[in-house]
Amino acid sequence: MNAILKVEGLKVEFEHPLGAVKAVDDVSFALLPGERLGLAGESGSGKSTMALSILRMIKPPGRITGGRVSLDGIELSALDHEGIRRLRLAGIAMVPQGSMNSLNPFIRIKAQFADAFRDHGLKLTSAELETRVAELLRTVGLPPHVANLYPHELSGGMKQRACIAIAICLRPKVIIADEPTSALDVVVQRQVMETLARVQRDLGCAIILVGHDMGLMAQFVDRLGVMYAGRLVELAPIAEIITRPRHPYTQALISSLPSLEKRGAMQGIPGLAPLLRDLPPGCAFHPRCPQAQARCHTEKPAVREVAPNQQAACHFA
Amino acid sequence: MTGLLRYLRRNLSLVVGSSLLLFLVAFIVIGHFIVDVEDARALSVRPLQPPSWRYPFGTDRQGRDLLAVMVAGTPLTLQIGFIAGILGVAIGTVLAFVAAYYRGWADTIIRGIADIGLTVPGLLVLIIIAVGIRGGLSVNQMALVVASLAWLNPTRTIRAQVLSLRERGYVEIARMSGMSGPAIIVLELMPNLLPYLAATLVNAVSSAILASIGLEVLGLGPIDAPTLGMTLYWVNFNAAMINGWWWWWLAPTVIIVLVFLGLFFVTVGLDEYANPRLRRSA
Amino acid sequence: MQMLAILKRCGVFVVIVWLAASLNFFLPKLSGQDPVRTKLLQQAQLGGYVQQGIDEMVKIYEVRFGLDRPLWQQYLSYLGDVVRGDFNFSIANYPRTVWDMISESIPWTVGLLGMTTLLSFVIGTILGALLAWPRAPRWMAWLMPPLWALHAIPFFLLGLILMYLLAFQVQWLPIFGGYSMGAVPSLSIAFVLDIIRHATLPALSIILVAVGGWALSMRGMMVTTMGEDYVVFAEGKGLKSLTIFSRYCLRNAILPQITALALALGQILSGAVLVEVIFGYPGIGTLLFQAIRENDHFLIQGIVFTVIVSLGLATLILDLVYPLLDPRISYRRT
Repeated sequence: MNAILKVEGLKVEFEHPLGAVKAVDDVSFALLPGERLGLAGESGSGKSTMALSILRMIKPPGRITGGRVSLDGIELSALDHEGIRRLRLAGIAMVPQGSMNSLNPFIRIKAQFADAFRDHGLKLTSAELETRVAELLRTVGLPPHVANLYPHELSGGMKQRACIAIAICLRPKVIIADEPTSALDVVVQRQVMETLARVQRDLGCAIILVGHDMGLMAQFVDRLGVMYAGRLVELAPIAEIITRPRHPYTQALISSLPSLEKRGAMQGIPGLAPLLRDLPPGCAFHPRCPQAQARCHTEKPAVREVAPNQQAACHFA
Repeated sequence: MTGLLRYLRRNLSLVVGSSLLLFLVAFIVIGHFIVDVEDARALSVRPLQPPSWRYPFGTDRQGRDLLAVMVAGTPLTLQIGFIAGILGVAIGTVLAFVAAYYRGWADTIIRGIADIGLTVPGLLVLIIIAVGIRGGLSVNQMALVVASLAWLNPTRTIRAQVLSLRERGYVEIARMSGMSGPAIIVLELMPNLLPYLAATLVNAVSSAILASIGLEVLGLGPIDAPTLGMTLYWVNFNAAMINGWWWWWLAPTVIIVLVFLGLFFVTVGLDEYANPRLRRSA
Repeated sequence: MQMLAILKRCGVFVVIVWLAASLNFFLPKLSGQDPVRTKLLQQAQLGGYVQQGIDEMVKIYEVRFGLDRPLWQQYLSYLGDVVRGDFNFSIANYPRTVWDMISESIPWTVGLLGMTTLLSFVIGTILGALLAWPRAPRWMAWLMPPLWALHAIPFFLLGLILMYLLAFQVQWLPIFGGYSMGAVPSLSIAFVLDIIRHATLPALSIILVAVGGWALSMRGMMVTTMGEDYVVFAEGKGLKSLTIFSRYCLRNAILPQITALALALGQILSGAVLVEVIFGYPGIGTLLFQAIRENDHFLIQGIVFTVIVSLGLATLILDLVYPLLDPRISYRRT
């Protein structure tokens, strides 16, 4: 099957007085049509920056310094500003973080849809807009009168579902959801994830889910990529990751998960997440790695196929 | 020391502002050596002389040497500004802490007064006060008059700042560990507020000078003192502009502009220091 | 709830009126001797053609403020007069009433101040928004330093400099007054042009300074707003730069600007008073200056009271209009 979204050697750097910081370092993966891909990692691992860089939404002092992204055969880096603008939402849509106030507090929900339609060249009469918005809201389980409300009149879960409705309003091929349920309570979290899963299935689009909640990932995604210090250190089908993680960092992540059998044995990952501007030489994980050898201190492990459909960046995987 | 220098390289506003103020101080100090301050009194020199080697800034219609007036008057104007500014910030700080730390009715009253006071045009209230106690104000009385309103703005801004500091974790911890209110204020809040207070103070000094000059131009200042504002009052009184005596208003204008620019840039610099988040946007 | 907020805000206005009146009543009494009475007696001793009027005023004054009556009675009757808009006669211009003189100069000040405040607010806000917008032309960055510098200077000082350059040196504009001497006030085009020519310099000295202030604060608000999550999401929605600029940044950053305007009115007015004095512009400021020179206490009190109350009214209106612009605080819905 041909990939719908292909990311090759993507690099993002942030200027810093003490030298450039590599927030995303040589990340490659391919997303299949209709696939649900998860990207997990600690905060500061570069996963959100990754998500933004696919849409070319990195702001100075950040800068995309290398790599290619193509959507359905179209090379994104070849597009001009206007081209990439048109591609956002229509080709790749983002669902913002749940903890954020992503809706403009001063305009009604309906108008936030209308802006999107208009700027993507759709001329709708107000009656057409009315029905379209009502339909989209219904899809995410919101009553039609929400269209005439202001964001502050909605609950956190409702706002997030409104954002999902906006994200799918032009039937994108790919949705990038960056921690869509952060700061929502567990019940609402579940509703939002179910909504997201349903619209993704109905639309048949692929989705990249960014997050750090491994439990959520296990329930939702087909494949999981694990990021550490700006690199994609492991990428494999979710079942493989859960049962046979190859990279020591993934292994630590999995064993830190509370489960029914291992109740009470929840262990964190020893050591602190590294500072991106002061990475250790060799494998960035070696100071925290229980299996580290002399080689890990000096030699940066390349990403390689460790099993069919499973890649990892570790000398010993 | 090198750390300070390196910081100053990044905070250009602070450098420009303090250089301007230092320049003024140097002008005053050196001026006292090269000119007789007594010539700032009326009838001391030949009237209405344009600038020359003898009188670099010229002389006015009442026979004052304008260089001497500037040398003697600039410190007086600064004195009014600093007395009023310091008093204003001191009163404002106390009120702000009481309001923001203890909340409740004290906060309601203090904030209410400050909010109402700020919507009222300050100069007009000062005029009523100055007219009410008329009969030749001295420079220090003038400072007190200006100080009577100078606490409003500091109260308002410091209160907001204390409120945001109050929510920080370390204050919470101090409170839980049984520290008393005043102890928390002095030990935990004050050190964090100092740079902010400094910025507020400079700002208050600047507003106080503006207010005092306003009163003086209207003829409500210390009539015998050669302050910058009084000089402008005489400029206006004698219609120096229409008569073409340009040097008369040029000297005080330039110095007042330097004072305000200096204070303004110092405020901006201190703000940047107190609030580094602004650095990116500035 | 909304009704309560409106009532509260109106209550604040009543308090302002009351404070202004009380200030007028009590401050002259602070210095021990009543300066109004002293001034009146002085004027009466000078004699001259107003002699009779002044004598009458002394009588009226004594009866009205009846020094034999207890203070609270004097105070109450003073408040009553003020509410009725009765500020007594002008001491120096008897038999003209204070209100008569004030109402003559009010249109000049309202015209000058209204126009300059509106213009500088609009220009400064647009400029500040553009300064913050990353896609604005590069040369705009050069506007910042002069804006900063101008912003730090008092209105009337810039007025002096402009007056020297534009009215004295090149004589493009009149140096003094509100209209040419000998011009007959009428609604003719010539007279209106004459008024505009006279207002240009005072207006310019206010606008040039104030524009910088509004531009700086708007730029700060814009920078804050542009970092908001909804602007990031708007970009993710693929909206045009112009849409994001106007509907997601500009509109939202203007609201705090309007709040700031309400707070700044008093300061602007204080500055404008001095500009009027410098240019001899026939508004409230110049009238006040004359009153101070002539020690005309009734006139000073009347002016101060009128100005404080009208500014209080202006901020009241701004505060009541604000919720119509900000949907988060709405008087209309629950």
